[in-house]
Amino acid sequence: MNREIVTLNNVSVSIGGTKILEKLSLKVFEREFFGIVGPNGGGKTTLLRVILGLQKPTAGKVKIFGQDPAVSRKRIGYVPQRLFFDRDFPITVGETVLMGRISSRGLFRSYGNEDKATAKHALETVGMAGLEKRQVGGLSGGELQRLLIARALVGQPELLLLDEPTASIDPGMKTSIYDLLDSLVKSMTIIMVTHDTGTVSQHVSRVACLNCGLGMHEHGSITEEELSNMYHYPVDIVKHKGAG
Amino acid sequence: MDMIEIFRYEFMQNAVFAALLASLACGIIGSYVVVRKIGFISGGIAHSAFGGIGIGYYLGINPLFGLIPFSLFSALGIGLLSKKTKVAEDTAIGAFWAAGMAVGVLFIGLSPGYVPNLFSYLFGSILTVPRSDLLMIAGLDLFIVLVVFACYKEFLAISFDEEYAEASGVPTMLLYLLQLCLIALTVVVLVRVVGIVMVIALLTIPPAIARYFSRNLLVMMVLSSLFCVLFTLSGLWLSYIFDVASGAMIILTASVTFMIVAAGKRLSGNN
Repeated sequence: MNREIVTLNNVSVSIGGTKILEKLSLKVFEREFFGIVGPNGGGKTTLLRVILGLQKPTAGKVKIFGQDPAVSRKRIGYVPQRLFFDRDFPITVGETVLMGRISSRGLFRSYGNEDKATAKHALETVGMAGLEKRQVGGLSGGELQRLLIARALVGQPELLLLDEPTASIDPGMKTSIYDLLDSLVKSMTIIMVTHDTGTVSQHVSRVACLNCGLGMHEHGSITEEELSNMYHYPVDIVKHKGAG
Repeated sequence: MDMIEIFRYEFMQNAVFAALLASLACGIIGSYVVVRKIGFISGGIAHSAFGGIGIGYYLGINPLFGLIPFSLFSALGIGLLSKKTKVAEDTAIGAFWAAGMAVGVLFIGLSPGYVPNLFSYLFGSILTVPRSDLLMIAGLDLFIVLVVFACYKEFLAISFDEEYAEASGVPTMLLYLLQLCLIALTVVVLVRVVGIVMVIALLTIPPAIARYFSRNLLVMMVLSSLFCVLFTLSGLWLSYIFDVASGAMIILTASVTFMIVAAGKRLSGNN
């Protein structure tokens, strides 16, 4: 088996007295495409924040690349939820992508030619070459999503975290984002949080259902009953790659 | 007396210099205030700064010297109280807003004798800015420009996407407090022009108009500064013609322009 990229051991997180995650253990291996589904408020985003080292667990151990999350942060590319952005913010596509280089540039130093070349390459990878001068506010939902992926790629991450990248995007665009992720997973590990229970199984290698605790599905499929227990409303059954 | 004639007077030259210098800080820092939507925080910092003016009077020093430390203190206080404790941001702002004003009223009451120029700090008096204050304003301007130049990419990152910046290892809390301190210093710069009560309008209206025409933050800053020059100088000119308070005229010029531009953008269908 490949080496462990993310190791969570009995991790619990409480915020303001509310249990968000409870005794969660999880291993994600190199070059895996790992999906996390679960209801809103089930702790999906919190789990990503724990992996990023932005949220300290109340109990349990977190190792990313075998190190403390704060140390390994530079090796992680993060794609936050698109819907939180202020679409009126005056910023161009080029400037947004360059932001992904911020951790490799010290304070008081502006971006150099190497940064710009990497940014250009990242935009090509997501199919947005030549759009540097466009204002972010004028992009479609799918374009903005691909821009945010490009920003994460520009830091040349070994682990990519995505928070609901396909939420409210039209089906055609959704497919193109999954195709992009399928090609990226050849060179990195991907963890993706999603509501997209129908499509996710065709792409991920494993999927977990998160609602405070974790239901792991290695090679079987989640039963409909189990999902509706998680979600409290009917959802599509998730089947896994290779599970038939 | 025609327009050229009045520029022979030193007070008029000083007024124009004050307007130009204030516009620089106003355009740059105001752009952050507008894109980060922290206008109310800025209003709180500006009003609480009145405490510094009161202390300045009480100690018998230039009130601007009381204003600088006190406004920095309020900026840090509001920032820390709202981010590091469970106090809601608007509660923290409200508390500092009123407490600062109370300190000001208290110390002005305790100050012996007549308190000169109090109104000029509250409502601005660009025609009475002395040369010594101009030097201080220029110094603060320089400091603000240097800090923004040094931290431009970090400020952009935390303004656009704070969580991403934090995940990238940017010290977001520290930079946020620094931004609030820059707002405090900008308040000091603007006090002489429009007064602490109306500072907030000059910090928000020119950048709000500039945003309609800006593709990125740098363009927005430049345009905001130019709009700010336009409003302060035309307000000054109108106040001279109609013989009314300059601070109020500057703010009204800006507000009316803003309404016209906003309405025009709405009608032309690309708000």
